[in-house]
Amino acid sequence: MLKVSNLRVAYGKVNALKGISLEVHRGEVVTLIGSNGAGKSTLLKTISGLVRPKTGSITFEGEEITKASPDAIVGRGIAHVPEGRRIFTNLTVMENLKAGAYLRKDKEQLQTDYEEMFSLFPILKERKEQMAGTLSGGEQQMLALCRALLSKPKLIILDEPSLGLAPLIVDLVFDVIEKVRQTGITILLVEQNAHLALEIAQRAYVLETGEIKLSGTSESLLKDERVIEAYLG
Amino acid sequence: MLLLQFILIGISIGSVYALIALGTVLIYKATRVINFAQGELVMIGAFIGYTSLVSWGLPIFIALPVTLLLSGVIGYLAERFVLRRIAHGPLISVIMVTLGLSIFLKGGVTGVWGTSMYSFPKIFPESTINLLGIKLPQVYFWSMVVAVIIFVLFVFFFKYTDLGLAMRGVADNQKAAASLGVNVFSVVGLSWVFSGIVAALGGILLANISLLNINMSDVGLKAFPVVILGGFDSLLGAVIGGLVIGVIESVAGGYLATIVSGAIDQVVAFAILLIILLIKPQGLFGTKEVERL
Ligand SMILES: Nc1ncnc2c1ncn2[C@@H]1O[C@H](COP(=O)(O)OP(=O)(O)O)[C@@H](O)[C@H]1O
Ligand SMILES: [Mg+2]
Repeated sequence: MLKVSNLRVAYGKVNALKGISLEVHRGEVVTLIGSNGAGKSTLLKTISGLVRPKTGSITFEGEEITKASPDAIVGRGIAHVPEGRRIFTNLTVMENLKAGAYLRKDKEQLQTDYEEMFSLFPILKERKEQMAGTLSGGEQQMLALCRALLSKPKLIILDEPSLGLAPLIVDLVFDVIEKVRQTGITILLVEQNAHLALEIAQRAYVLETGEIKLSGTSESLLKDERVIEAYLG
Repeated sequence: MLLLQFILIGISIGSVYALIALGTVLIYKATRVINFAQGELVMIGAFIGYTSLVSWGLPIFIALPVTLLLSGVIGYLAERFVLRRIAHGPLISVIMVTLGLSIFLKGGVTGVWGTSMYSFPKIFPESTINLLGIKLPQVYFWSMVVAVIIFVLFVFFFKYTDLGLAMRGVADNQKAAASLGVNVFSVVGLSWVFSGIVAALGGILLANISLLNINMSDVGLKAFPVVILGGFDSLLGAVIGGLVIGVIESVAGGYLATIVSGAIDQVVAFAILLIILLIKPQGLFGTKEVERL
């Protein structure tokens, strides 16, 4: 479904990605783990068109999207929940959700979809008219997730959804990711919490200083000594 | 009675300031850029209006849409071919570019229309209108009406349309908006189109109040105290700021001009600006900083 080949990205003189290749197949949950500064967010941003690569290619459903604009990429069915959530703090919760459906053509279907989101996250319904900036960190994460889901994506890419959340909330967020998986949406998940990530994913890639160091099924990586030492210890 | 008259005139002139400031706020909201060329857009709008009415001899109901359309196009071109090229540069450079744009536009107008005074054809009846017992020239009254209509249209646009929502999203967080499929450049371009259009409306009203000349662009300088007073990102702030500055200017000019020699009315706006910057830097209705793409 998604194929990244030999991707190189640099910020000025800093080489953030040094030739990355990976694949995500339809219906999979694939996770990307790696420590801070490894280049995980850069990779996701490049996929969603927010950062331009120096070389390499990205294809989605067999079509080249390397040079496509972010809105065109969303239009093709890739939704990105960025690190730090990036909800619209000065817009209400409801307006944030509406913005998520910006590119949707089937506007008459939306009311049902909002209700579906509200049944997943009753708290968002309660806070519908509140400024999104007043939500707690966990609620903001759920809003960001709902907002991305409302674009009806085929592939959703999540950048550290557990970052800065209390353990209880993290569990809740991962429950929802599991539910999203069950609806058949393909997921590419970036996580620092390798335990959680490997539990939910079928396959994983380990990224270190801009290079893929390891890859394989989650089971095999959970047993890999290097992974245990560096990320699970 | 004299005071009421000064206040009403202040509100009318303030409505025009508000229109001009609305244009500044639109661009600021979408991009965090303070457009120093807003006054030039006002002046160009007025000159285009003059040309379509006088040189092309169009009736007002055709000349007005034509003028607004062309002014919107100028706003669009400025964004598309000047600002977009450095959109990712440091904010200060972008702002400096708008300053360059203002000089360029002023030069262009001088080239086409020269520096002489033009008397704008009166588009409102010469008769006066009776408001609260004060006889007011019609143009003053219509300035208020136009400002109110435009303000209401913008409020409606931002609250009830998808595109308006997208624009607010871009204003709030460009990256997040892009990641939801909003074409940020189109939205920013649109804010310039709107800005050009309201500027032209302001220009036409101003030209009906006074004479038309290259120096009309100085009114752009009035937009700064207005938006600083109202808060750079607030539409309501622009309107209230415009009215407050207009009224204070008119009243101060009316009473003090006889006591203090010189153009006291032109100083008050900037005196207010300094005071506001000292006590409430984000303006009366402004909000905190927001992130840019
Ligand atoms: N906008 C930027 N400008 C310059 N360097 C950046 C920028 N964003 C990230 N980097 C650098 O690129 C590298 C990878 O960062 P990032 O992709 O955010 O890593 P991760 O998400 O894995 O923590 C880091 O060295 C980081 O400092
Ligand atoms: Mg990151």
